[in-house]
Amino acid sequence: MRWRVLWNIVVFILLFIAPFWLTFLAAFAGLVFFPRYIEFVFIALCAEFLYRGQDYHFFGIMLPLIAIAFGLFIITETLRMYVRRR
Amino acid sequence: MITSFRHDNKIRRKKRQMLWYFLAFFVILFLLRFFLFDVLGALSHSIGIRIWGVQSVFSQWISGARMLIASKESLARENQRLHDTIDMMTLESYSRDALRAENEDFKKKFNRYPERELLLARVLTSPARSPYDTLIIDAGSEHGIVKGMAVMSDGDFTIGTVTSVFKRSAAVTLYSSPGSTLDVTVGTSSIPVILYGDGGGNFHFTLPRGIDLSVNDLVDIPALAPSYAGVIEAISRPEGSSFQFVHVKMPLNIYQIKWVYVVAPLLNANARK
Repeated sequence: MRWRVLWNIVVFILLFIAPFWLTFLAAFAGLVFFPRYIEFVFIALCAEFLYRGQDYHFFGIMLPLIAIAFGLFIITETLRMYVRRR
Repeated sequence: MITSFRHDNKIRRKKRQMLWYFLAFFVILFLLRFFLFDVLGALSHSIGIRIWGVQSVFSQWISGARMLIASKESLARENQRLHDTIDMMTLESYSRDALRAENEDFKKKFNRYPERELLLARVLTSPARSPYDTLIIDAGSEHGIVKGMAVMSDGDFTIGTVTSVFKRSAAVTLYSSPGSTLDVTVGTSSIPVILYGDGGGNFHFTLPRGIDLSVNDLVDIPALAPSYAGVIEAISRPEGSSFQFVHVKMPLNIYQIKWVYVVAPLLNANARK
């Protein structure tokens, strides 16, 4: 739990100061290593608030980042469901 | 067997959980779409302004320290290069200023006044930090910024428009952001084309092969005052194709831009005079 909180703080700071690809990689690492890492969607949400222009549509999608993040979260959790761990 | 039964139960439980996640996701989307964007956007920007302020101080300190440890030889080389650039730009600016004055006089003769008010704003974050090719600037509604204002850089290049406004900051979506389109004219006969954003200050458009275009041609945004979207960087004319594919680039490094001008159009300027 402690590592998870620390990781969240790191990713949150990266969102403000680092290139986006680095923030994405750090958040994705959290998604892979921590169970039910819903913070991944929350970080996408913060990125939307910070960087997206209000009327901007990415090829017709209103909130593309949240949609992508939620899709990745569901895929990861579905895969995790079928992977047995010791 | 017992283990397998437990595993199935676990999967069933997780599937139920997924359903809840989906439900929560759509509720959040609904709230964001209609209610929460302004409030949470303002909140995250107010946190962001503080962090970016601290970061700006640090980056200035680091660049100062880097200058201290740079060798004398490399500084002398850099100095010489900058002197040459200044000489070249000064020479070019004489003819440019004369041509601009002539152009404005000409428009005034026809009672058109290409006037606009410019507000200087500092860039807080470059497009590298944003997944959407946006800039965050340090001017907001407090400074008179409203949505839809054009944003320019030096050299009359219009780089984007203000798309979100908060109290002391605003988000500028670049014309080059993926999925964006812009109506421009190219060539000596001002052929209208639609410019498609590719991200990072890059664009592309397609035209029939017969139209004469060349590298370094300016791409104009039709307006009374001079305004450009970029310059033609490369033209590809594949064999057997009746089209030419043109790559356009903003002639500035959009990732290192520090200052921009927000354009407030003087809507009644022409009526007043």
